[in-house]
Amino acid sequence: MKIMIFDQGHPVTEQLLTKAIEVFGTPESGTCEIVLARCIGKAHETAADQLQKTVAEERPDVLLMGATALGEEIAPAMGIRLGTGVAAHCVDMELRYDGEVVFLIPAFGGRVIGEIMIPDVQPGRPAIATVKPDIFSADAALVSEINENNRLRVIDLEPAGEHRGFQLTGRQPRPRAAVDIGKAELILCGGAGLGSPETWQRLENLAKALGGAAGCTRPVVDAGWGPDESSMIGTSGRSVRPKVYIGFGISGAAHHLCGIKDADVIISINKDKKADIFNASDHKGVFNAEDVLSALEEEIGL
Amino acid sequence: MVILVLVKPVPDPEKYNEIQIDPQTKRILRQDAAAVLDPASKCALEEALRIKSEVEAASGDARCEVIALSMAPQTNRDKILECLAMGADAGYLLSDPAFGGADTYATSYVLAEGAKAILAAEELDAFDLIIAGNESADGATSHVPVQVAEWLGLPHLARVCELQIQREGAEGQEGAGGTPVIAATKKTEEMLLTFRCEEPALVAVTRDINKPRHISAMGIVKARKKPLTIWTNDDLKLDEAKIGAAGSPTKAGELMTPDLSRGGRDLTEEDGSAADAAKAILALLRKEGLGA
Repeated sequence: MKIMIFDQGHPVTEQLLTKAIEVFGTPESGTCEIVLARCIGKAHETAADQLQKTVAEERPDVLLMGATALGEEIAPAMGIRLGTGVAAHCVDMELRYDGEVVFLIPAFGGRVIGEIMIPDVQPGRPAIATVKPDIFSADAALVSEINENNRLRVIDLEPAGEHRGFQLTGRQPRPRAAVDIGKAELILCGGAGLGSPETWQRLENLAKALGGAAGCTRPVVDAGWGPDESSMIGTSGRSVRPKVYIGFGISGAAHHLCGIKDADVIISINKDKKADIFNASDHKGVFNAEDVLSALEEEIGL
Repeated sequence: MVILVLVKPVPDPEKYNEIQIDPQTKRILRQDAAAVLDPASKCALEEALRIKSEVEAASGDARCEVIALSMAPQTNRDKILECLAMGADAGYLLSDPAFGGADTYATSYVLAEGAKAILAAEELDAFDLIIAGNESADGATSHVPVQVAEWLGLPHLARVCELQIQREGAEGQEGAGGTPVIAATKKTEEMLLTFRCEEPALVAVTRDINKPRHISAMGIVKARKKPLTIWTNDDLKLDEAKIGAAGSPTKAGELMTPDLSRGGRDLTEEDGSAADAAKAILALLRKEGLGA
């Protein structure tokens, strides 16, 4: 079985490689070959054309890529061009005894997890799956050992010829949060129950004072209180795995709970004692979120 | 100018916590959650309506027609009416049991064929622009917009957070009469990338691109007089092997609802105060070696 990973120079590649080795076997196991199709820092506009050509030459059975801004543009396009199915945003995958690959994908914001199979796979018409960053963990030691010993074949995608369609005219870095919520050990997360942009600002300040990062839910982004989607936690935002997550004024919609399920400890504050987040928490407090924020500010002298 | 907007009815996202799976059949047990117009679809339509008003304001005789297209059961006719009430000029609903059970591959095929049929019916050469929501609330694959563009052979750009139609003159200068060019900003993990593309093309917009307008009473009155066409496969005449479940390369297996319960112990005693809760939180942080 041949597995191709589309490498776009994003940490998700190492996460995919670690998972692929776990599911399909090591490159030397005889049952599986893993190749990287690398497209870094060049001609992303033609990446789909380049990858299509490489798939035709290499004829993989499975094609994996990160569900990044680039991956989400390329994976569905490959599905149509190659006439095959694409499993979106896998949270797990397994190889069954009969050789069929089963992908687990979330729906309804993660409330439902469903199995997806792509039965009519042939070499060159691979099963395609995307995986969001930080869904799988990378085994750094394994990845560096594999790289040092050149155990993987890496194919550099050739820039394709003239490109019609969307032409890149400019690029600017997005402003970055002081602490990336994807790496934070402590996350204070605010929901609609914060009530105002001022309270959101206080939550951000408190998170900073406690050495953590501030995250939010969809209603906070939609209300325009300040944070954008890069701070949004949930299936359509970021998946996080902090040591401690504290939710303030969050009801616990399925898509948010799915994004915090890997936290070691979940603490939640909501004035509604029936809030869905409480059952998904280790510790809960039925309080007005702002009251607990004020008490925390006082305790640490903010 | 003609803009096609792809819209999708979805079960109300506020109700997803209530979804249950039948332990025997492994299918969704009851899904009586009312359908709503997907939030991202509304943003796509809002963007089209904004462009329409800009184009029509720029020149007295310029017209921009906005057409809404969806594939959904006929019970969702009112969602197309909602699009018309927001300001779309015409609506098309592709509705046939044969389209059901489709994955994104077969869905995008039907939508692309529907788009071609609209061009024929409206006697148009091409749509200048197709706009869709980047990611729906229910399936959230983000595949369908890109796949519709691929079927139609159009350039596509997903995760668009800013969109403008610019007019470029012969020397690349902006002006009222020049060639219309799509200028779009795409948000990636770390960058804001700006692109340009000559029409026609498809863009998939994210929910932060705008705040969709509310429907006015006048909008509802006007909507009833606007054309709303429902087509079945008798109209589209698509090969049944290429549509619905039969035309879908992916097959769905068992469904499950992940158990996320953790017990939820109280932070404080029954009559504890917010200050007690704060102390308990800081104690838990210290235990994990965190906090100030």
